[in-house]
Amino acid sequence: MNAIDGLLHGLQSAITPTNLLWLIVGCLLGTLVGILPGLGPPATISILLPLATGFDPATGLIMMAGIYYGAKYGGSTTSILLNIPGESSSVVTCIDGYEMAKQGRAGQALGIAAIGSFVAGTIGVIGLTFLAPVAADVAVNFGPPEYSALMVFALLLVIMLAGDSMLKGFIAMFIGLFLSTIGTDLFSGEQRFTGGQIELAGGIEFIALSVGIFAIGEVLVNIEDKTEHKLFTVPSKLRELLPSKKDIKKSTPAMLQGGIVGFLIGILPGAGSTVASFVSYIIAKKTSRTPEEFGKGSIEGVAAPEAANNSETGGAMVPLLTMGIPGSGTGAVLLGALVLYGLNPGPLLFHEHADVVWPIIASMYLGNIALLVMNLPMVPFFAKLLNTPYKVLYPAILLISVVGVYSVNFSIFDVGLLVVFGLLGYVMRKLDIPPAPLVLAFVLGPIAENSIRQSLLLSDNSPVIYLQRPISATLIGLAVVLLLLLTFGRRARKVREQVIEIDA
Amino acid sequence: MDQDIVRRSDGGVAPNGEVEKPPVSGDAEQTPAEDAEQTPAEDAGHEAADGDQERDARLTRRVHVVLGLVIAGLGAWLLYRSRTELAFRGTNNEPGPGYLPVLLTLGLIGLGLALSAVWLWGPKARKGEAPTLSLQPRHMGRALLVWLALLVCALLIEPLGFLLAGEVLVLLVIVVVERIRSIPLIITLLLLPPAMYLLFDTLLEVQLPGGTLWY
Repeated sequence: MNAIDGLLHGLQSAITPTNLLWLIVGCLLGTLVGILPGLGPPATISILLPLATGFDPATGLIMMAGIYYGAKYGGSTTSILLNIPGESSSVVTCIDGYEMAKQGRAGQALGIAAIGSFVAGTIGVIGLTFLAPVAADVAVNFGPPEYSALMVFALLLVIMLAGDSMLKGFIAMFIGLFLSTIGTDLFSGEQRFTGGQIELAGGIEFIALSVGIFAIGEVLVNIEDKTEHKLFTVPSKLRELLPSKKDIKKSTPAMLQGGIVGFLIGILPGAGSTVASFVSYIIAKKTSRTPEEFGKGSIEGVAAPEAANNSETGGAMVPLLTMGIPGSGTGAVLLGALVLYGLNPGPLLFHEHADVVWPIIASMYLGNIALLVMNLPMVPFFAKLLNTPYKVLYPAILLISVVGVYSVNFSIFDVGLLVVFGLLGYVMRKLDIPPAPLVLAFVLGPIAENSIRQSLLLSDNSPVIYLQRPISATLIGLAVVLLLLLTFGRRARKVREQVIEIDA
Repeated sequence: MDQDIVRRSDGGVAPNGEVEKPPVSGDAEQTPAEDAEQTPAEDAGHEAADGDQERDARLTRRVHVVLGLVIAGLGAWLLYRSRTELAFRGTNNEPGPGYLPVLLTLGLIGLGLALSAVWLWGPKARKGEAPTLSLQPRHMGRALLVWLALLVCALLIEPLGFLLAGEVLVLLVIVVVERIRSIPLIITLLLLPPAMYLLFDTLLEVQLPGGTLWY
């Protein structure tokens, strides 16, 4: 069965009234649960997995696709409206999404997130359908040295989110990397900086860190002045709450780029949607006609990471279905679900269970459509939430954050961490230290450390291994060029600006 | 957000962490004719604004120098702990558990010292051209009050349970932070913890702490 026949067959199997009903139910449930901070797609799918496994494989997996896309969109909603990233991949969306909400453009941000997700999801599914065999071959060649090089490159990209001070960006990144080392060392089993706390043995809980630094830190900055008014102004007309044609036109290149970048990065196991979202954000900023708007409420700054975040799903399905390697937490849950259904992901899956695999791929596409059809009309209602007076909204944000963080591990200790990181987030904002590099470095840190140590183990501690392999050598070369650009590019630009000022 | 715009126009911190440059003294769009017609009161106002700006610049410089030293000091302490508590190399000379922490803490020391040096001797800092921080004690006090309310809530969750700890947080916000007198607002805020309890614990079955004092 070729790819087109397979996809058509999959669509035929998937489009039944029962499947469509459960797809919509899954999408709705996913959005409702995913809107809670701390409950990203992996947690949401885990919570709702027992519901989905009650059906036959095709229906159950179609419902899970709905849950997954709904959860992803729910995460974007809290990022944009409340600056609460539900998962690490939503961190980048917060940067411009929340700024747009503050300018009364929450509806446009939410709308473009849904449209971008749909466009990129389509790219992801097309990529998965036609490029899966080729992409799987490349992914097989990614060993520890390639991952180390990719992570070094990704960490340098993080610095580009640093704002004006590169030095402070590096400080934030190093703190994030250091925080990621806390916990049990996977190689030796030794405890690092846990202070004897059993709760820290598994490391710092990401949700406590990200919600503390972003959401609590933001609340503390916002309530410095006595707040008698609404959080942000929200336009009253329904039409003004949705993206205009101009917005969509402006965001199209970012969506397409995000879709392609997200898919390609998604293929690499472990790289995940976090890397995909911020790499596409950086590319969108660099290729935009209005790069100065990024960080201040650029619609492209929402479209690109949201698109990448979504098409990464298609990419992540490549190693999952062809090799049985889950690329992310969600992938691991999906792998578990496939095994529960008696399916063993691997090279033979497409041949032995074509009747299930193609409907899964088709259901991803249907999930995207359901998301767009259901959530776009809901955008104005979500945006209207911001009409609530801030003095009511911020205690609600604090309480939701506490519940969200507690519900991940049912741990009071994590709530304590939330309070500590909330203060850190506030202090960082007051001292003009950008929080995004810290949070992203915290996510990338363990992958970077593991791959670097594995590479050095493989090479008898010789760093030459990075230059002996073509992919890692290329990535290291790109990282060096990026570092040079970061160092001298900025200086050169500033020198140019000074010259212009003097001339003026 | 209105209050944010006001704060940022004073040269405050944008929520994404970026600091905006304070406005230059005087009105940028003022014509020379208008400039000549300035009253003594306006002159005095501008002088006061210049004085505030200079004070902010001095404070910002001092804060950054101290911040750099604190980061370097913290890095040094963590380096000491990494070197003494964790093996830098494993038994086969492979990178050990202390490998990355040592490299990172060395980096932090270097970056902290660099930050202090830049703000001590950097041309922008010396000329007062660098963006200033918004560090007004009255504003920060309000933020810290809310943080303390959250801390109290976190400490009370285990013994009292989510519902009561949530009510304590809300009451602290109503009475201490916001001093709200509007009855509908007070009722709305007091209903927040039970509403959340109903949504999460009862409907979504996310079991919230019930309180060790009662169970």
